[in-house]
Amino acid sequence: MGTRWLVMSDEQIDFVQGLVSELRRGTLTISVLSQLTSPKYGYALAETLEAKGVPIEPGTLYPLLRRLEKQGLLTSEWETAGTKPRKYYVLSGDGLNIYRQMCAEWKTMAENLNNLIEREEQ
Amino acid sequence: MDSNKKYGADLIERYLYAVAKRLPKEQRADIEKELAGLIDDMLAEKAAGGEPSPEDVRAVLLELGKPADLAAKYRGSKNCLIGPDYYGFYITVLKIVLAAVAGGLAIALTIGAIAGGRGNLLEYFGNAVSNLVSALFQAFAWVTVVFALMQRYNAKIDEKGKQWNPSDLPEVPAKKARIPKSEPVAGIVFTVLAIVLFNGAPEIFGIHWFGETHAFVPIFDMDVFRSMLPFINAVFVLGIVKELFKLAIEKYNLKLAAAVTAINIVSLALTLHVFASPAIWNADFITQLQAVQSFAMPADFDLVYHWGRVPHYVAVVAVFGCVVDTMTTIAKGIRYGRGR
Repeated sequence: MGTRWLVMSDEQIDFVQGLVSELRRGTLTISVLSQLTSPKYGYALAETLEAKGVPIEPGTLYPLLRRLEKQGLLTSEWETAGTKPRKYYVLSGDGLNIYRQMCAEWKTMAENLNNLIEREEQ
Repeated sequence: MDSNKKYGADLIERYLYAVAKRLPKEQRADIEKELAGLIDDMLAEKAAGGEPSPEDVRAVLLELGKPADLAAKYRGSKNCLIGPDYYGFYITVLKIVLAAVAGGLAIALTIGAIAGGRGNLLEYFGNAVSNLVSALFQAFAWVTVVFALMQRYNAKIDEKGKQWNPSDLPEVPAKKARIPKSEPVAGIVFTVLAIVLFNGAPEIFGIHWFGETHAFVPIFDMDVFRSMLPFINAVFVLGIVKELFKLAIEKYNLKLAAAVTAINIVSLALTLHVFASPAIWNADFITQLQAVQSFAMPADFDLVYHWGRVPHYVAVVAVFGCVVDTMTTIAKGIRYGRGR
């Protein structure tokens, strides 16, 4: 299995990257929600996520924050006290409930998937 | 240095404007402000405390991506004129209509060229090509507009929350119940051809002599014919709608029978209104024929009388054809498709 990775063509590498980003896309919401138990503004959130190994491009993160706010999972507030005005986002009550639910779903899913993969590898 | 700074600020401003103008009005200001903050933060990191260079600005904007893409992510919805639900059918109809318009117009223009009497052939050819092109564009535009409206209308009454039931699946039609695609397609092609001829070259409906001089005796009274054109076109459009129903439903069933019956009744009424009255027919047809080329009137067949009776004959044929078509469709509908 491991050696085969080395002989992938460029085309295959692109294909795998496409699949990986598809896989990641579904996890973005959980990643974002997980970091917003305390208020953060977009760029700080992007840095936190990157530092924790889950980088999200700002061009994706910012629209996502808006959408989550519109869906009622986040609330936002402009902070104008500092040098620059920044918009801070934080989990709403609903958002927190949904986040917890999503965590449980994710754990089950990951567990089941690992079962599938490990059985295949044996 | 100062000019560099100005250049960078200008780029940012242009970027923000390009994104904002693609967003809904009420969100514009807020998103713009937030994005400005983001760009500022990204620049600060790039420049590591120093003054950001125009290159830094460029890199940051490139990272954020095309303004149109970013705005699309904010809007969330995929805007499209004709979505995947309609695209296949749209392409089919477009092909048929364009082929029919091109074919019909080509035939009409060829007939026009042969009938002649329009001066310079080269000039005529030039006109013909430009007519053809503009007709094709029109056909394209109309088909597209109709489908775009369907898309829009349907997108609004999206079947959200509507339960789908496997028993709603249409039955696989019995072989005889299937309408082969070629049938409605041929119908549409001929109807478009007729539209083109009736509107573009009404002078072909008559008797032409290509002797030393070109003589022409029209079947119709041209003035009345022109005033009746809207009705004639309505009949043709109804015919096309009927064929589209066949194309979409693909088999004989009660739904199709109901649609065909309704369309047939309306188009029969229109046909009778136009062709069953003497006004549209050229009253002097026989005498004009005699004037062009005299021939012996058959003794036992009164041509003038029978020409006068043409509206009646046409009415009989129209009613008969309509009844046969309607009855066949209803009979097949009952036999093959009580289902949906």
